[in-house]
Amino acid sequence: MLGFILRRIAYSLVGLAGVVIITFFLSHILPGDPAQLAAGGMRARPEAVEAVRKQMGLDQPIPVQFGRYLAGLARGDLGRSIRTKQPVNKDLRRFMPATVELSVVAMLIVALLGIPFGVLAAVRRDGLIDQVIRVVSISAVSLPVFWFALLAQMLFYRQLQWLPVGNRLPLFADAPPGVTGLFLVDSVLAWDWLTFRDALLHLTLPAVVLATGSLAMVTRMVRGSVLDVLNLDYVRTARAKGLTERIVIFKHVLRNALVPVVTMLGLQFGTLLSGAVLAEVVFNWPGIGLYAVQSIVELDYQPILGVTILIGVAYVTINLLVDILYAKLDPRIRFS
Amino acid sequence: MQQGFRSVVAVALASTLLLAGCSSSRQQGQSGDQKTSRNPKAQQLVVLMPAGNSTLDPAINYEVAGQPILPAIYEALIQLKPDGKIAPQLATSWDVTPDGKTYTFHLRQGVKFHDGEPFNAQAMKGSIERMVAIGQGASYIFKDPVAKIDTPDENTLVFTLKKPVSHFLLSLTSPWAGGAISPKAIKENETKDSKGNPDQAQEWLKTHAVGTGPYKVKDSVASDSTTLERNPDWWGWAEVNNPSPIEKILVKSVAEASTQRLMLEKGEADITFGIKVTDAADLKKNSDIVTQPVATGLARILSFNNAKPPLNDRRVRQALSYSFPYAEALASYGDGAKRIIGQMPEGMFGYDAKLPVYNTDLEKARQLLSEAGVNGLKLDYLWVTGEDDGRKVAELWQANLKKLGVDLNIKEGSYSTFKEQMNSPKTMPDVAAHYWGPDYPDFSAIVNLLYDGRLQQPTGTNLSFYQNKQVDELLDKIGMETDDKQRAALASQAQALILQDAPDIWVAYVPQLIASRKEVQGYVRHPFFDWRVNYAEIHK
Amino acid sequence: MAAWNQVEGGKGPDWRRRLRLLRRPVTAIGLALLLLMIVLAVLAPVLATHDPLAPDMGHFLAGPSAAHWFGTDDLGRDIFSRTLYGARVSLLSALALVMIAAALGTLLGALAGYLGGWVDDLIMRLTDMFLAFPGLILAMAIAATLGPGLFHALIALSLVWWPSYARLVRGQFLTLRSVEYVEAARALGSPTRRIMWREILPNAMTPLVVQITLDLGYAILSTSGLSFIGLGVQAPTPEWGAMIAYGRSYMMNAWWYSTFPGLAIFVTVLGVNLLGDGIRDWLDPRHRR
Repeated sequence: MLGFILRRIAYSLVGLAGVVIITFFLSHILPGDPAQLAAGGMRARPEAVEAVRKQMGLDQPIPVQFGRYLAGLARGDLGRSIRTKQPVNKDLRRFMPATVELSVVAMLIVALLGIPFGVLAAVRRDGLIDQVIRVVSISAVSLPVFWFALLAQMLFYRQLQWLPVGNRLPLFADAPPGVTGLFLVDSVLAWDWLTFRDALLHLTLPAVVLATGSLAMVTRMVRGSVLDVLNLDYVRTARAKGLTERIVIFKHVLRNALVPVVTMLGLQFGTLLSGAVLAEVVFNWPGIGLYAVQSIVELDYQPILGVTILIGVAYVTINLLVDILYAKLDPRIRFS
Repeated sequence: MQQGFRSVVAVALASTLLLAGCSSSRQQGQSGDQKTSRNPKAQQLVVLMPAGNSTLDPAINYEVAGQPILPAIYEALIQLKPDGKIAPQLATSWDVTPDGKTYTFHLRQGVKFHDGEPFNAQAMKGSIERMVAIGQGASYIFKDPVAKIDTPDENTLVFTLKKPVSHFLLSLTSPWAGGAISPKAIKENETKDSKGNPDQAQEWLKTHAVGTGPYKVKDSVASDSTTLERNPDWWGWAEVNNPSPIEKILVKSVAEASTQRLMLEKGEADITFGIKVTDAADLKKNSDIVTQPVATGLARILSFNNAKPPLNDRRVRQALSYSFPYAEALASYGDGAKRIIGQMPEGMFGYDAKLPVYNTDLEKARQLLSEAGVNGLKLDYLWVTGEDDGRKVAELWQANLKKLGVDLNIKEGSYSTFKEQMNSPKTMPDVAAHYWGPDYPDFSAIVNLLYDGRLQQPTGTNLSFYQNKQVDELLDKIGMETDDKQRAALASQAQALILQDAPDIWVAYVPQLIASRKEVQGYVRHPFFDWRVNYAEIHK
Repeated sequence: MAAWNQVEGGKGPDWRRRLRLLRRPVTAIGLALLLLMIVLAVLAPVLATHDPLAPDMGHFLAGPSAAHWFGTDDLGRDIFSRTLYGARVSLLSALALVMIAAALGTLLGALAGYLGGWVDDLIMRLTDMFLAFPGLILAMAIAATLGPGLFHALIALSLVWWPSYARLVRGQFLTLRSVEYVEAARALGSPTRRIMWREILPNAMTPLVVQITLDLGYAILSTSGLSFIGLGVQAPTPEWGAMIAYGRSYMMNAWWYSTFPGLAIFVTVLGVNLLGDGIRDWLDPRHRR
């Protein structure tokens, strides 16, 4: 077990290193002058630009810059954003909780609705419910998330006026005290129900929109997984024994069918994070996705690298955990 | 495996709860909509900008997004009132010697910085010298003309210029001409930069501020938002007719125009600078909202690369100037867009309504192109990401150029890409779209900076590699001339010469929709600095 | 298409089996939608009511009407015609994307699967590296550094897409390498290259073609997503994602601007997905009744 985990971690580290190399070299070989931006733009005097270039280390040869970058990375230093004037580290700490909160809530929606829907579709295979779920879920997977977000925003913010626009809390409201930065959790810990309600209201639409695609996919996968198990011999035996269908499903099928679902949920996390980038842009949700896109627009490399690395680490870690969990749940898997 | 089963039940239960939660939160949303804020709403103000302000340091800040923030925190010697008059601020009066080389400012007494430090001549001198030493932002205002600054006593500041500069006083009213920073704050927050040199608190002042203005910084997130808090000790409260009761101001960047409109309509925002002009007609129907669609002094300019063939041929540039669809481009900006005559906005020195303008005339363009012997012309056009009108006018122009057999290749680039390409005639695209707005309302802040052949990139602000010795001579004459009438004649002459050379296309003054909630009283738009807000006089 | 008949042991064409695929109404609808979009794309010059690039400032941001079925955009251009032409861009770029990625993936996967040893190790570690990241985000980072443009966006997306094809093809090669007819060919002394291209690859094509079909929808979503954040197609080419992005600012008083191009994406991807779903069921007998 330990050997397996260590090997997995080693692979992940190799993967991360590769991504750092690719993104770093692409960003430093290609045109664009960050020093100019940092020095204040168009009317910046050339002496000032030169000074900033030196200060940022951009006058050094590329390999030296890469060495410095790696050395910084080893210390947990991801460089500095030109746009926000802050260390990327600090920015990520500020924006990360919003993305975590959004994607965790979306993930909860996916798991809590996707599993029952999938089971239902499988049990009623080819029945009306199955067909409806099938068509609805295929449609949901086909929605471009940014367009869907725009339409949802128009409907719920403008036409119906049900929900507040953008951001995580009302504009002047103070963030709840607490260490997690997740407003839902922090407000509960502080017993501040007004803030909890506000945070939930602001979160609802972005989370639902973000969850839609993954929800559909998970529903389909759960259905498939349950069907696989239903075809196995022991289920037939159970049925032959005269057990009621309900007992067969709940007692014999589900617990086996849901083992691979854990992996699916882990894989969906990547899809969810990609979707979060686009959804955050439309909903003006102050997470790392919006931060990344704003940095892209201004060719601010360090934050782009930082966000890519952070998401990579998160994704790799989650998949590692999922693999371990999967192995725990399914005794047939042996670590070799 | 028993666990597995229990979790399924839990999942089913939880999903029912979640469904229930969804429907109840929806009802709450409907009823609890007005309760979004906890402080009395009349005491807080939300201002939305389409772009973020990147730094609070008055020596470095050089962006339009600084206007709604920095002047509320930092004050300069003098200011430009909306009526166009130069008015006292930290200086109560000033004298100029007859030779035009010595400016003496008498400073206001009893002014205190936000940290309690007293304001005096040394503080002002220190702030200006800090700006010049850092050398960014609009430091050229002091760096180029000023020989030395003296402080004969606590309350007197004396500038000695290298040579007389007719626009010096006006240039001091620029919103980017710096402001007085508390010397104590600079000293206390100084850190060393990567080379070990003291940084004059540059690091700290990016997101903190200690000035003398009516509001102080409570919280700041660079390029995103700044929260200001009332400074009860401001010297000026006594001088304002009906001082504002606003306690807190949030100036926030919201990039998306439709989101700004949603927030304004829902009362989440009070003043917005980013709603599209095309929304004005629609917004006028909403009685809760007051709109001010106006032409601004910000000009959309398409600069030609005057140093590279085939655009180094004046006839080709003139042909392109005749091919541009001015009327359509103006229409695409919506109400309030204005044609540009010469290079100076109406109301500023140098404006001359009699100067010729280029109108769309494809026949003339065709003729000029064939005179120049140019066939199958292919032009690269660069616009900067985020400046959507740069793309729109290019698409309009492209349709006309196609008729002339000219192929316009539209490219998008980030701001830093733009800047890098503008550095040399070799890398500059054939046409580059940019905005120009004067730092202070004077001829020198537009014509000199853009067309002086000695100010070419990369060391200057001339963005078209344009060079005409005759123009350079005229510009020098204007700078020394003291007789206003004579100056105006020379200014018209210079502009006419430049127009004939057609180094660029001046598309339009870009209109902007400034919208506010009807509860907001006392807000006056500044005609020269569109995003400046007179917070001290605003009521809700 | 030719490969489908290989599914069960390469028995040759079986028209009944193919038709059964379309017996499901949902699958047939999917195919119909996709064919419709292809026809619209091909016939765009005939069907378009206006020049998609011709501005008309007399009628900008006009709502849907008899003259402009989908309304006009901020430059007065006809959105219906632009959406038609947009189908060409979107379908072609999605196809180009999966083709480049599949070609690259097939080449590397085949090398890895056939040669094995250190080549296999190297290529598989490379795929691990790419698969360890959410593809779209990595593609955004790469596209951002390359600069805006359709070509750059396609390069960026292909760079993150090939590994899944490489995996697939390698797997096929590992299985097929020991299949009788390949071993027979090898025993007869056929050169390696010949065995790879003539014997193994055609048989590995089936799952590859299916995978490409299934990925097409996601390819359309990804390219339009990059265009939406400004990293894709450049003006004035009509492209759905970019049209949605431009129309977004006018959403409040010109809903049609973003809505119709989005609808076009949705319908196309839906067609591909319905079809793909049918194919998947058809190939995987467990899910079939």
